[in-house]
Amino acid sequence: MKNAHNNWRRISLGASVFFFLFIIFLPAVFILGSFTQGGVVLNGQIIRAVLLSFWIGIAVVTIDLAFGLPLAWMLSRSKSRIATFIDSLIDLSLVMPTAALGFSVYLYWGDRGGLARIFGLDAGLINKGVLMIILLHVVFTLPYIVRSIGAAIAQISPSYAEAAETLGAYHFTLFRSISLPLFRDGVINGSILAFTRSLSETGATMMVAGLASTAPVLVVELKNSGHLPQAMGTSIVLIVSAILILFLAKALLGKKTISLEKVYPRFEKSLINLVIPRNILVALFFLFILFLPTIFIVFYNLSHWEMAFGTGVLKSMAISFFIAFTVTLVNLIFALPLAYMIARDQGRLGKVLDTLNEIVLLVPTSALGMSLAYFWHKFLSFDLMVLILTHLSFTFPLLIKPLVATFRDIPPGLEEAAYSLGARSGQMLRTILLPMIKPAILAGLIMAFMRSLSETGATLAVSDKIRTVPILIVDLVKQGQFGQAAFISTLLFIIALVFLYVLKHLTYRTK
Amino acid sequence: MPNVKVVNLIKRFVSARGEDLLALDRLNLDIPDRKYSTLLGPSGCGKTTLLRIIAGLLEPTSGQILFDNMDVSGKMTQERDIGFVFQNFSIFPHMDVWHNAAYGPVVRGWSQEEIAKTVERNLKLVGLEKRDKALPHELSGGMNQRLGLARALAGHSSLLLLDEPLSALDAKIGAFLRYELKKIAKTNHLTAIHVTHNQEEAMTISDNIILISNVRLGFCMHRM
Repeated sequence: MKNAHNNWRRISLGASVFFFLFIIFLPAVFILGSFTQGGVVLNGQIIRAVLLSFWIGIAVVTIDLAFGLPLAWMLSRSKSRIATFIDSLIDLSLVMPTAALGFSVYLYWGDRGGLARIFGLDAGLINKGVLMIILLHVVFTLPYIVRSIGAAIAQISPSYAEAAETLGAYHFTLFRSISLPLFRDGVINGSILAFTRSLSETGATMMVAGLASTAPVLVVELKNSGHLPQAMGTSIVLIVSAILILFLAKALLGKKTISLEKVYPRFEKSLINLVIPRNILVALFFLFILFLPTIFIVFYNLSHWEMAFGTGVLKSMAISFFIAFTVTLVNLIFALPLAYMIARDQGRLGKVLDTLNEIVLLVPTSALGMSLAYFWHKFLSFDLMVLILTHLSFTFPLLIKPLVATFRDIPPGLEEAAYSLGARSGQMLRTILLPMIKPAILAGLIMAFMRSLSETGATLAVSDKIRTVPILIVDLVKQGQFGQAAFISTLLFIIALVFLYVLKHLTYRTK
Repeated sequence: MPNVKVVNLIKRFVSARGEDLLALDRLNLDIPDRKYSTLLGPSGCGKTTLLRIIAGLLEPTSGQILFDNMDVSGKMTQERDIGFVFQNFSIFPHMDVWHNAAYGPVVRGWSQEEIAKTVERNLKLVGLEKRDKALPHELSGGMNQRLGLARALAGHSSLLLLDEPLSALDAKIGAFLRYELKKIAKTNHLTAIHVTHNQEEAMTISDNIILISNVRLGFCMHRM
């Protein structure tokens, strides 16, 4: 039994070490080496872009929290039809390919055929720039906040709120003093995810940025204009920021106690009248700021759709699907043993691997793509290969996360029982573990597949020759061919919808 | 110092499968002032439902709840001036003992001086005065429930509702706490309504036992 167990451990360890050495660790060390040798440049333009990205991230998280908190509360506590309806649609922007989403949001706010038409205006309601970037980022980050907080709320026993009520606390006091501190970790986790997602988004931002240049967009622009040391500098600042944010979050999550020193009973009691207006406001926010901008592209003028086929869309589709399939397959091979190892290892190694995995998840993809491309191009001249290696690095953590969670839910006693009955490690894996983790694997694979299919920033940072579908959409929008871009975006959106449906089905089965 | 009247109380639930379930059917009850009353009955007979309706945590389908002949049916829990002790303690896990015990007075806007005095008195009453900085997870089950009692008493409410307060504790501690509960209720002149399915517990602790069997009230047994 021990031998079989050790074999499985050895395979896990080997795969983990191989992955982190060759895909993550070596390129990272190499980049830091270049920094010390003067291969990297930082200047005022870079600092300004990074600061702008941070300000946008802070504004986005503030708006997300202002509306996401009451929305998450409403979705977890209310059984009304509106709540059920919103709940089923909240993830839509999360699976919408970002370039298509950015274009849809631009058409909704910035095109005269969008919201402006309702008001009878000749020009769009909002110009491209910082405000539109914020509106766009809210669309795809809010689901992170709502889902993280929702999951945290679901774990809190409703009896704490009841206890507070019997002690005389009205809704707002109760929310502030009991509920909020209890799901604080969900708020912090969601905020970190939303902030880093906003910090890293490239493809969608390019659609609405205009003259404003966020850090990930700057990476691509600098790289395309041949300013490689500056692009590297921006990438390193973004990567270091992501690591700092992760450690700051871990420190915040470690603090557990909180005390209630100040309350304003009369004022907080008076807020009880705001519950219904609050729910209406949140529902309107969902409809006009989130939902309609996300799906607006479907209602855009799709005539001349046949012209889209002259743009090379079929070739782009083939490339995108090839990359996504390859990436998903390779991910599967390495993710299983690594996830098993992280979940089962009680020592330091498991924790280190878990943290490394989280860092990769938080690093902006254009910065990661830039760095990895810089490294891999030293050895490989084949762009497609480098692109696949880059896509591997940011999709891998997406697969690891749900797998680790599922492995942790499986009692180790089951494996020991199988071994005690004479099963070898391969048999135990095939007959015990795999059937139990199948839904999590499939859900993780679909997420990784969709993320690869919709990635823009990393692809642009790696190669200016390979035209995946998101790159094609960006190019068409740049050339002003909105009809074709809208058609291809809609096509990608429909594929995303199918995947969302399958994902929901699988997640439901996992539960 | 209320006496509690329950008038023609009906409570229906709709189950997850859409079935109509009758939890309480035309219940009438008169619970005397300053007595320790027990609602005794088997699991699922609706005694906790009744207690939660008295507390305002559940809305009845129809019927009235009267405190000292005043209809409180339309009042929120916060306005009913009650103390409630929960079966699973429901001690706020992010606050220490002192802040848990102080929560009621704090949210009611009492002065700092009053809060400190009340908390000190109540923690002493339940024997937790030396553990005021401890966090709930550092306390035993029995200590947590004593804290639950101190917290419920802190608002100076004269009606104390207890939902199976001893069932999550082991038998020895439960037996000890019975006497404490009764003593505290008596010294503070409280009207107590204690839900339990344990006959021995009910017999030991109560002035007044109300038997509930299968959605209808069985009979009342008064003890002097």
